Amino acid sequence: MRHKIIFGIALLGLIVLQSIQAQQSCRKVHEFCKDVIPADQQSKKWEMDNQSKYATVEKGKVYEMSFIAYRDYVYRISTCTDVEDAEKINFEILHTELVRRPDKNGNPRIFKEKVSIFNNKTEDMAQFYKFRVEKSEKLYIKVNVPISGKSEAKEFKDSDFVCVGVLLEHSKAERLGF
Amino acid sequence: MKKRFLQGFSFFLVASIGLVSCNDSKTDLDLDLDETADTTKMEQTNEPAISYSVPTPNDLFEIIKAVGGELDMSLINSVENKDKYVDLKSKALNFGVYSADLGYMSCFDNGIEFLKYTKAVEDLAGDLGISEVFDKTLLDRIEENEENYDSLFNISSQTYYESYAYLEENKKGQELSLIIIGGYIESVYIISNLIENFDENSEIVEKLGDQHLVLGQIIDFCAQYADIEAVSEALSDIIKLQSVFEENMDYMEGTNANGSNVSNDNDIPTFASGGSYRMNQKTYDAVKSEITELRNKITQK
Repeated sequence: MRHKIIFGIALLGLIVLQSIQAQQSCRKVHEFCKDVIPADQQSKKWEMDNQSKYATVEKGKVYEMSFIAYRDYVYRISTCTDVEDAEKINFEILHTELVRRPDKNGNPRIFKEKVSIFNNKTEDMAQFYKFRVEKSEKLYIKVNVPISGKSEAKEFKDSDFVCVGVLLEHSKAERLGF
Repeated sequence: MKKRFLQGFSFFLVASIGLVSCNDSKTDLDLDLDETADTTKMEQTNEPAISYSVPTPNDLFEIIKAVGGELDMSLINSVENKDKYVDLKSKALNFGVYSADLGYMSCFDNGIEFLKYTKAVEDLAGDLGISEVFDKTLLDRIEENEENYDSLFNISSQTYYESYAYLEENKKGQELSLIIIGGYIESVYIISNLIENFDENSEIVEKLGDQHLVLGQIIDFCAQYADIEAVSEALSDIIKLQSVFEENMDYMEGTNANGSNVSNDNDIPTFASGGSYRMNQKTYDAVKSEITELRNKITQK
Protein backbone atom coordinates (compact mmCIF):
# COMPACT_ATOMS: atom_id res chain seq x y z
CA MET A 1 0.00 0.00 0.00
CA ARG A 2 2.77 2.39 1.02
CA HIS A 3 4.57 1.73 -2.24
CA LYS A 4 1.43 2.47 -4.18
CA ILE A 5 1.01 5.83 -2.42
CA ILE A 6 4.64 6.75 -3.08
CA PHE A 7 4.25 5.68 -6.71
CA GLY A 8 1.05 7.73 -6.98
CA ILE A 9 2.68 10.85 -5.56
CA ALA A 10 5.71 10.41 -7.83
CA LEU A 11 3.45 9.98 -10.86
CA LEU A 12 1.45 13.05 -9.94
CA GLY A 13 4.66 15.03 -9.46
CA LEU A 14 5.88 13.91 -12.85
CA ILE A 15 2.65 14.95 -14.55
CA VAL A 16 2.76 18.38 -12.87
CA LEU A 17 6.43 18.79 -13.80
CA GLN A 18 5.76 17.82 -17.41
CA SER A 19 2.86 20.24 -17.54
CA ILE A 20 5.04 23.09 -16.24
CA GLN A 21 7.86 22.19 -18.61
CA ALA A 22 5.44 22.04 -21.51
CA GLN A 23 4.12 25.50 -20.74
CA GLN A 24 7.62 26.89 -20.30
CA SER A 25 8.79 25.42 -23.58
CA CYS A 26 6.19 27.55 -25.34
CA ARG A 27 7.41 30.67 -23.56
CA LYS A 28 7.00 33.80 -25.64
CA VAL A 29 6.04 31.90 -28.79
CA HIS A 30 3.74 34.83 -29.55
CA GLU A 31 6.80 36.97 -30.22
CA PHE A 32 7.47 34.85 -33.31
CA CYS A 33 4.10 35.92 -34.70
CA LYS A 34 5.87 39.13 -35.74
CA ASP A 35 7.35 37.08 -38.56
CA VAL A 36 3.98 36.90 -40.31
CA ILE A 37 3.79 40.68 -40.57
CA PRO A 38 5.37 42.20 -43.68
CA ALA A 39 8.49 44.32 -43.07
CA ASP A 40 6.80 47.46 -44.37
CA GLN A 41 4.18 47.21 -41.62
CA GLN A 42 6.53 46.65 -38.72
CA SER A 43 6.59 50.26 -37.62
CA LYS A 44 7.43 51.35 -34.10
CA LYS A 45 3.95 52.75 -33.59
CA TRP A 46 2.80 49.21 -32.82
CA GLU A 47 3.38 48.28 -29.20
CA MET A 48 3.01 44.79 -27.84
CA ASP A 49 -0.16 44.54 -25.80
CA ASN A 50 0.31 42.74 -22.52
CA GLN A 51 -2.79 40.69 -23.21
CA SER A 52 -0.83 38.64 -25.77
CA LYS A 53 -0.83 34.94 -24.96
CA TYR A 54 1.04 31.73 -25.59
CA ALA A 55 -0.10 28.24 -24.73
CA THR A 56 0.46 24.53 -25.20
CA VAL A 57 -2.41 23.07 -27.19
CA GLU A 58 -3.24 19.63 -28.51
CA LYS A 59 -3.05 19.29 -32.28
CA GLY A 60 -6.40 19.69 -34.02
CA LYS A 61 -8.00 21.48 -31.06
CA VAL A 62 -9.24 25.04 -30.85
CA TYR A 63 -7.43 27.47 -28.60
CA GLU A 64 -9.66 30.26 -27.31
CA MET A 65 -8.72 33.39 -25.43
CA SER A 66 -10.57 36.53 -24.49
CA PHE A 67 -9.28 40.04 -23.96
CA ILE A 68 -10.50 43.59 -23.44
CA ALA A 69 -10.25 45.91 -26.43
CA TYR A 70 -10.23 49.61 -25.55
CA ARG A 71 -11.79 52.02 -28.04
CA ASP A 72 -8.68 54.17 -27.74
CA TYR A 73 -6.51 51.77 -29.72
CA VAL A 74 -6.23 50.21 -33.13
CA TYR A 75 -5.40 46.54 -32.59
CA ARG A 76 -3.37 44.19 -34.71
CA ILE A 77 -3.79 40.48 -34.05
CA SER A 78 -1.41 37.87 -35.42
CA THR A 79 -1.36 34.17 -34.69
CA CYS A 80 1.33 31.55 -35.05
CA THR A 81 2.39 28.08 -33.95
CA ASP A 82 5.78 26.46 -33.68
CA VAL A 83 4.74 23.70 -36.09
CA GLU A 84 7.38 23.16 -38.75
CA ASP A 85 6.06 23.93 -42.24
CA ALA A 86 2.64 24.69 -40.79
CA GLU A 87 -0.08 25.66 -43.17
CA LYS A 88 -1.69 29.00 -42.55
CA ILE A 89 -3.72 28.98 -39.37
CA ASN A 90 -7.43 29.68 -39.23
CA PHE A 91 -8.42 32.20 -36.61
CA GLU A 92 -11.60 34.01 -35.78
CA ILE A 93 -12.55 37.08 -33.71
CA LEU A 94 -15.88 37.17 -31.90
CA HIS A 95 -17.82 39.44 -29.62
CA THR A 96 -21.12 39.21 -27.77
CA GLU A 97 -24.31 40.72 -29.06
CA LEU A 98 -27.88 40.88 -27.95
CA VAL A 99 -29.91 38.96 -30.46
CA ARG A 100 -33.69 39.09 -30.59
CA ARG A 101 -35.33 35.82 -31.58
CA PRO A 102 -38.03 33.48 -30.39
CA ASP A 103 -37.21 30.95 -27.69
CA LYS A 104 -38.13 27.25 -27.82
CA ASN A 105 -41.73 28.11 -27.04
CA GLY A 106 -41.94 30.77 -29.71
CA ASN A 107 -41.91 33.67 -27.26
CA PRO A 108 -39.81 36.69 -28.28
CA ARG A 109 -36.64 36.82 -26.19
CA ILE A 110 -33.31 38.58 -26.17
CA PHE A 111 -30.31 36.29 -26.16
CA LYS A 112 -26.72 37.24 -25.45
CA GLU A 113 -24.63 35.35 -27.95
CA LYS A 114 -21.11 35.19 -29.25
CA VAL A 115 -21.05 36.36 -32.85
CA SER A 116 -18.16 36.14 -35.29
CA ILE A 117 -16.92 39.52 -36.48
CA PHE A 118 -13.94 38.32 -38.47
CA ASN A 119 -12.72 35.00 -39.83
CA ASN A 120 -9.46 34.95 -41.75
CA LYS A 121 -10.96 32.37 -44.12
CA THR A 122 -12.65 35.35 -45.75
CA GLU A 123 -9.30 37.04 -46.35
CA ASP A 124 -7.27 34.23 -47.86
CA MET A 125 -6.16 33.01 -44.41
CA ALA A 126 -4.36 36.30 -43.70
CA GLN A 127 -2.20 35.74 -40.61
CA PHE A 128 -2.77 39.15 -39.13
CA TYR A 129 -5.68 41.55 -38.89
CA LYS A 130 -6.09 45.20 -37.92
CA PHE A 131 -9.29 46.60 -36.43
CA ARG A 132 -10.75 48.84 -33.77
CA VAL A 133 -13.92 48.94 -31.70
CA GLU A 134 -16.51 51.69 -31.42
CA LYS A 135 -16.85 51.12 -27.66
CA SER A 136 -14.49 49.25 -25.36
CA GLU A 137 -15.60 45.64 -25.23
CA LYS A 138 -14.63 42.07 -24.51
CA LEU A 139 -13.49 40.11 -27.54
CA TYR A 140 -12.69 36.44 -28.13
CA ILE A 141 -10.12 34.89 -30.41
CA LYS A 142 -10.34 31.28 -31.56
CA VAL A 143 -7.34 29.66 -33.16
CA ASN A 144 -7.66 26.33 -34.96
CA VAL A 145 -4.48 24.45 -34.17
CA PRO A 146 -3.13 22.41 -37.13
CA ILE A 147 -3.99 18.74 -36.91
CA SER A 148 -0.63 17.55 -38.17
CA GLY A 149 2.98 18.66 -38.21
CA LYS A 150 5.73 18.54 -35.64
CA SER A 151 6.39 21.10 -32.98
CA GLU A 152 9.81 22.71 -33.03
CA ALA A 153 9.96 22.45 -29.24
CA LYS A 154 12.10 19.46 -28.28
CA GLU A 155 9.73 18.56 -25.46
CA PHE A 156 6.91 17.94 -27.91
CA LYS A 157 8.79 15.75 -30.32
CA ASP A 158 6.53 12.84 -31.22
CA SER A 159 3.78 14.23 -28.99
CA ASP A 160 0.30 15.51 -29.72
CA PHE A 161 1.09 19.00 -28.50
CA VAL A 162 2.33 22.18 -30.14
CA CYS A 163 2.88 25.76 -29.07
CA VAL A 164 0.40 28.46 -30.07
CA GLY A 165 0.93 32.19 -29.85
CA VAL A 166 -1.49 35.08 -30.18
CA LEU A 167 0.29 38.39 -30.52
CA LEU A 168 -1.78 41.45 -29.74
CA GLU A 169 -0.35 44.83 -30.62
CA HIS A 170 -1.92 48.23 -30.35
CA SER A 171 -1.34 51.74 -31.58
CA LYS A 172 -3.05 54.93 -30.53
CA ALA A 173 -6.20 55.61 -32.51
CA GLU A 174 -7.75 58.86 -33.60
CA ARG A 175 -10.85 59.69 -31.58
CA LEU A 176 -13.97 58.41 -33.28
CA GLY A 177 -16.69 60.94 -33.94
CA PHE A 178 -19.46 59.21 -32.04
CA MET B 1 -30.77 44.78 -5.80
CA LYS B 2 -31.33 41.79 -3.58
CA LYS B 3 -31.71 39.62 -6.66
CA ARG B 4 -28.46 40.88 -8.10
CA PHE B 5 -26.66 40.38 -4.84
CA LEU B 6 -27.95 36.83 -4.69
CA GLN B 7 -26.87 36.30 -8.28
CA GLY B 8 -23.39 37.57 -7.46
CA PHE B 9 -23.22 35.63 -4.27
CA SER B 10 -24.44 32.42 -5.85
CA PHE B 11 -21.87 32.79 -8.60
CA PHE B 12 -19.21 33.22 -5.97
CA LEU B 13 -20.50 30.23 -4.07
CA VAL B 14 -20.39 28.06 -7.16
CA ALA B 15 -16.92 29.32 -7.93
CA SER B 16 -15.83 28.64 -4.39
CA ILE B 17 -16.63 25.00 -4.56
CA GLY B 18 -14.60 24.71 -7.68
CA LEU B 19 -17.36 24.04 -10.16
CA VAL B 20 -16.55 27.08 -12.21
CA SER B 21 -13.26 26.82 -13.93
CA CYS B 22 -13.08 28.62 -17.20
CA ASN B 23 -16.62 29.53 -18.04
CA ASP B 24 -17.40 32.98 -19.21
CA SER B 25 -18.94 35.53 -16.89
CA LYS B 26 -22.68 35.85 -16.95
CA THR B 27 -23.82 39.41 -17.00
CA ASP B 28 -27.40 40.40 -16.49
CA LEU B 29 -28.24 43.50 -18.47
CA ASP B 30 -31.58 44.31 -16.90
CA LEU B 31 -33.21 42.68 -19.85
CA ASP B 32 -35.00 39.45 -20.35
CA LEU B 33 -31.80 37.78 -21.29
CA ASP B 34 -30.85 34.27 -22.01
CA GLU B 35 -27.30 33.26 -22.70
CA THR B 36 -26.97 30.38 -25.00
CA ALA B 37 -24.03 28.38 -26.13
CA ASP B 38 -21.69 29.75 -28.73
CA THR B 39 -23.53 30.01 -32.02
CA THR B 40 -20.52 30.27 -34.28
CA LYS B 41 -19.63 27.50 -36.64
CA MET B 42 -15.96 26.80 -36.01
CA GLU B 43 -15.05 23.23 -36.78
CA GLN B 44 -14.48 21.76 -33.39
CA THR B 45 -15.43 18.72 -31.42
CA ASN B 46 -15.15 20.06 -27.88
CA GLU B 47 -15.82 23.53 -26.54
CA PRO B 48 -12.36 24.83 -25.67
CA ALA B 49 -11.39 26.18 -22.29
CA ILE B 50 -10.96 29.93 -22.47
CA SER B 51 -7.74 31.62 -21.55
CA TYR B 52 -8.37 35.03 -20.00
CA SER B 53 -6.15 38.01 -20.69
CA VAL B 54 -6.33 40.98 -18.39
CA PRO B 55 -5.12 44.47 -19.37
CA THR B 56 -2.35 45.67 -17.09
CA PRO B 57 -2.53 48.87 -15.01
CA ASN B 58 0.10 50.29 -17.37
CA ASP B 59 -2.26 49.92 -20.32
CA LEU B 60 -4.87 51.90 -18.43
CA PHE B 61 -2.50 54.66 -17.28
CA GLU B 62 -1.20 55.09 -20.81
CA ILE B 63 -4.75 55.85 -21.96
CA ILE B 64 -5.48 58.04 -18.92
CA LYS B 65 -2.42 60.12 -19.69
CA ALA B 66 -3.48 60.51 -23.32
CA VAL B 67 -6.90 61.82 -22.27
CA GLY B 68 -5.56 64.38 -19.82
CA GLY B 69 -4.96 62.52 -16.56
CA GLU B 70 -2.29 63.81 -14.22
CA LEU B 71 0.12 62.56 -11.61
CA ASP B 72 -0.96 62.86 -7.99
CA MET B 73 1.62 61.31 -5.72
CA SER B 74 -0.74 61.46 -2.75
CA LEU B 75 -2.74 58.68 -4.38
CA ILE B 76 -0.03 56.02 -4.38
CA ASN B 77 0.51 53.62 -1.51
CA SER B 78 3.39 54.68 0.73
CA VAL B 79 6.35 52.37 0.46
CA GLU B 80 6.64 52.65 4.25
CA ASN B 81 3.57 50.41 4.50
CA LYS B 82 5.46 47.46 3.05
CA ASP B 83 6.44 46.06 6.43
CA LYS B 84 2.76 45.72 7.36
CA TYR B 85 2.36 43.00 4.76
CA VAL B 86 3.34 39.82 6.51
CA ASP B 87 1.17 37.04 5.08
CA LEU B 88 1.10 35.73 1.53
CA LYS B 89 -2.27 37.27 0.74
CA SER B 90 -1.31 40.81 1.71
CA LYS B 91 2.12 40.48 0.11
CA ALA B 92 0.61 39.37 -3.21
CA LEU B 93 -2.14 41.98 -3.16
CA ASN B 94 0.36 44.73 -2.44
CA PHE B 95 2.81 43.43 -5.02
CA GLY B 96 -0.03 44.28 -7.41
CA VAL B 97 -0.64 47.63 -5.70
CA TYR B 98 3.00 48.73 -5.87
CA SER B 99 3.34 47.45 -9.45
CA ALA B 100 0.39 49.64 -10.43
CA ASP B 101 2.02 52.56 -8.59
CA LEU B 102 5.21 51.97 -10.56
CA GLY B 103 3.24 52.04 -13.80
CA TYR B 104 1.47 55.24 -12.76
CA MET B 105 4.66 57.03 -11.71
CA SER B 106 6.64 56.05 -14.79
CA CYS B 107 3.76 56.83 -17.14
CA PHE B 108 3.58 60.34 -15.69
CA ASP B 109 7.32 60.91 -15.81
CA ASN B 110 8.21 60.56 -12.16
CA GLY B 111 11.43 58.58 -11.85
CA ILE B 112 12.42 59.86 -8.41
CA GLU B 113 10.56 57.26 -6.40
CA PHE B 114 10.80 54.57 -9.04
CA LEU B 115 13.87 52.81 -7.70
CA LYS B 116 12.51 52.80 -4.15
CA TYR B 117 9.25 51.25 -5.27
CA THR B 118 10.99 48.73 -7.49
CA LYS B 119 13.02 47.59 -4.49
CA ALA B 120 9.80 47.21 -2.50
CA VAL B 121 8.27 45.14 -5.29
CA GLU B 122 11.44 43.07 -5.55
CA ASP B 123 11.36 42.35 -1.80
CA LEU B 124 7.76 41.21 -2.03
CA ALA B 125 8.63 39.13 -5.10
CA GLY B 126 11.31 37.35 -3.07
CA ASP B 127 8.75 36.53 -0.39
CA LEU B 128 6.34 35.26 -3.04
CA GLY B 129 8.97 33.06 -4.68
CA ILE B 130 9.07 34.96 -7.93
CA SER B 131 12.39 36.75 -7.57
CA GLU B 132 13.60 35.06 -10.77
CA VAL B 133 11.57 37.62 -12.67
CA PHE B 134 13.88 40.33 -11.38
CA ASP B 135 17.13 39.70 -13.16
CA LYS B 136 20.33 41.01 -11.62
CA THR B 137 20.56 43.87 -14.08
CA LEU B 138 17.09 45.28 -13.43
CA LEU B 139 18.04 47.77 -10.71
CA ASP B 140 21.11 48.81 -12.72
CA ARG B 141 18.91 49.43 -15.76
CA ILE B 142 16.58 51.57 -13.64
CA GLU B 143 19.44 53.64 -12.24
CA GLU B 144 20.80 54.15 -15.74
CA ASN B 145 17.37 55.28 -17.00
CA GLU B 146 16.26 57.38 -14.04
CA GLU B 147 15.52 60.34 -16.33
CA ASN B 148 14.33 58.29 -19.28
CA TYR B 149 10.66 57.93 -18.50
CA ASP B 150 9.80 55.92 -21.59
CA SER B 151 12.35 53.32 -20.57
CA LEU B 152 11.11 53.26 -16.98
CA PHE B 153 7.56 52.78 -18.21
CA ASN B 154 8.71 49.95 -20.46
CA ILE B 155 10.66 48.39 -17.59
CA SER B 156 7.63 48.47 -15.28
CA SER B 157 5.38 47.13 -18.02
CA GLN B 158 7.85 44.36 -18.86
CA THR B 159 8.32 43.42 -15.19
CA TYR B 160 4.56 43.14 -14.67
CA TYR B 161 4.21 40.99 -17.79
CA GLU B 162 7.17 38.77 -16.85
CA SER B 163 5.75 38.29 -13.34
CA TYR B 164 2.38 37.36 -14.82
CA ALA B 165 3.92 34.88 -17.27
CA TYR B 166 6.20 33.32 -14.65
CA LEU B 167 3.33 32.80 -12.21
CA GLU B 168 1.07 31.39 -14.89
CA GLU B 169 3.73 29.00 -16.17
CA ASN B 170 4.56 27.82 -12.68
CA LYS B 171 0.93 27.27 -11.74
CA LYS B 172 1.00 29.88 -8.98
CA GLY B 173 -2.64 30.77 -9.52
CA GLN B 174 -3.17 32.02 -5.99
CA GLU B 175 -0.37 34.58 -6.14
CA LEU B 176 -1.27 35.60 -9.68
CA SER B 177 -4.95 36.13 -8.85
CA LEU B 178 -4.12 38.26 -5.83
CA ILE B 179 -1.54 40.32 -7.71
CA ILE B 180 -4.02 41.03 -10.51
CA ILE B 181 -6.72 42.00 -8.00
CA GLY B 182 -4.29 44.27 -6.10
CA GLY B 183 -3.15 45.98 -9.31
CA TYR B 184 -6.72 46.45 -10.44
CA ILE B 185 -7.90 47.94 -7.13
CA GLU B 186 -4.97 50.39 -7.05
CA SER B 187 -5.41 51.55 -10.64
CA VAL B 188 -9.19 52.04 -10.28
CA TYR B 189 -8.60 53.83 -6.96
CA ILE B 190 -6.15 56.20 -8.66
CA ILE B 191 -8.31 57.05 -11.67
CA SER B 192 -11.49 57.44 -9.64
CA ASN B 193 -9.65 59.98 -7.50
CA LEU B 194 -8.30 61.84 -10.53
CA ILE B 195 -11.87 62.82 -11.35
CA GLU B 196 -12.55 66.01 -9.39
CA ASN B 197 -16.00 66.77 -10.74
CA PHE B 198 -18.14 64.17 -12.43
CA ASP B 199 -18.81 64.86 -16.09
CA GLU B 200 -20.45 62.08 -18.08
CA ASN B 201 -18.62 63.24 -21.20
CA SER B 202 -15.20 63.09 -19.57
CA GLU B 203 -12.93 60.51 -21.17
CA ILE B 204 -11.46 59.59 -17.79
CA VAL B 205 -14.98 58.88 -16.55
CA GLU B 206 -15.52 56.72 -19.62
CA LYS B 207 -12.31 54.80 -18.85
CA LEU B 208 -13.47 54.29 -15.29
CA GLY B 209 -16.67 52.82 -16.70
CA ASP B 210 -14.66 50.53 -18.99
CA GLN B 211 -13.08 49.02 -15.89
CA HIS B 212 -16.22 47.00 -15.25
CA LEU B 213 -15.28 45.00 -18.37
CA VAL B 214 -11.80 44.43 -17.01
CA LEU B 215 -13.28 43.45 -13.68
CA GLY B 216 -15.47 40.84 -15.34
CA GLN B 217 -12.39 39.39 -16.99
CA ILE B 218 -10.52 39.31 -13.67
CA ILE B 219 -13.43 37.58 -11.95
CA ASP B 220 -13.52 34.93 -14.68
CA PHE B 221 -9.79 34.39 -14.38
CA CYS B 222 -9.69 34.25 -10.58
CA ALA B 223 -12.73 31.97 -10.35
CA GLN B 224 -10.39 29.19 -11.49
CA TYR B 225 -8.65 29.49 -8.13
CA ALA B 226 -11.69 30.22 -5.99
CA ASP B 227 -11.18 27.06 -3.95
CA ILE B 228 -8.18 28.79 -2.34
CA GLU B 229 -9.35 30.74 0.69
CA ALA B 230 -7.29 33.89 0.11
CA VAL B 231 -8.50 34.11 -3.49
CA SER B 232 -12.14 33.47 -2.59
CA GLU B 233 -12.01 36.25 0.00
CA ALA B 234 -10.54 38.72 -2.47
CA LEU B 235 -13.00 37.53 -5.12
CA SER B 236 -15.99 38.23 -2.91
CA ASP B 237 -14.71 41.81 -2.51
CA ILE B 238 -14.41 42.43 -6.23
CA ILE B 239 -17.69 40.68 -7.04
CA LYS B 240 -19.29 43.22 -4.71
CA LEU B 241 -17.58 45.99 -6.68
CA GLN B 242 -18.85 44.46 -9.93
CA SER B 243 -22.40 44.57 -8.62
CA VAL B 244 -21.89 48.25 -7.73
CA PHE B 245 -20.99 48.93 -11.37
CA GLU B 246 -23.78 46.83 -12.82
CA GLU B 247 -26.55 47.99 -10.51
CA ASN B 248 -25.92 51.61 -11.28
CA MET B 249 -24.60 52.01 -14.83
CA ASP B 250 -26.93 52.93 -17.66
CA TYR B 251 -27.22 50.45 -20.49
CA MET B 252 -27.10 52.01 -23.94
CA GLU B 253 -28.21 50.13 -27.02
CA GLY B 254 -25.49 50.11 -29.66
CA THR B 255 -25.67 51.36 -33.20
CA ASN B 256 -25.84 47.77 -34.36
CA ALA B 257 -28.71 46.73 -32.16
CA ASN B 258 -30.06 44.77 -35.08
CA GLY B 259 -26.93 42.83 -35.84
CA SER B 260 -23.19 42.98 -36.32
CA ASN B 261 -21.94 46.07 -38.03
CA VAL B 262 -18.62 47.15 -39.41
CA SER B 263 -17.65 50.58 -40.57
CA ASN B 264 -14.30 51.76 -41.79
CA ASP B 265 -12.15 54.43 -40.22
CA ASN B 266 -9.14 55.17 -42.42
CA ASP B 267 -9.43 51.67 -43.88
CA ILE B 268 -9.46 50.16 -40.41
CA PRO B 269 -12.59 48.05 -39.83
CA THR B 270 -14.41 49.37 -36.77
CA PHE B 271 -16.73 47.03 -34.94
CA ALA B 272 -19.81 48.35 -33.24
CA SER B 273 -20.85 46.63 -30.09
CA GLY B 274 -24.41 45.53 -29.51
CA GLY B 275 -24.62 47.83 -26.52
CA SER B 276 -22.56 49.27 -23.72
CA TYR B 277 -22.72 50.54 -20.18
CA ARG B 278 -22.36 54.20 -19.40
CA MET B 279 -21.29 55.89 -16.19
CA ASN B 280 -23.50 58.32 -14.31
CA GLN B 281 -23.04 60.36 -11.15
CA LYS B 282 -24.60 57.70 -8.94
CA THR B 283 -22.31 54.99 -10.29
CA TYR B 284 -19.27 57.17 -9.95
CA ASP B 285 -20.04 58.00 -6.32
CA ALA B 286 -20.77 54.38 -5.47
CA VAL B 287 -17.69 53.01 -7.25
CA LYS B 288 -15.41 55.62 -5.71
CA SER B 289 -16.71 54.85 -2.25
CA GLU B 290 -16.43 51.08 -2.71
CA ILE B 291 -12.97 51.17 -4.30
CA THR B 292 -11.64 53.47 -1.56
CA GLU B 293 -12.88 51.06 1.08
CA LEU B 294 -11.32 48.11 -0.74
CA ARG B 295 -8.05 49.92 -1.28
CA ASN B 296 -7.81 50.93 2.37
CA LYS B 297 -8.56 47.36 3.36
CA ILE B 298 -5.82 45.76 1.26
CA THR B 299 -3.16 48.39 1.91
CA GLN B 300 -4.07 48.39 5.61
CA LYS B 301 -4.13 52.15 5.58
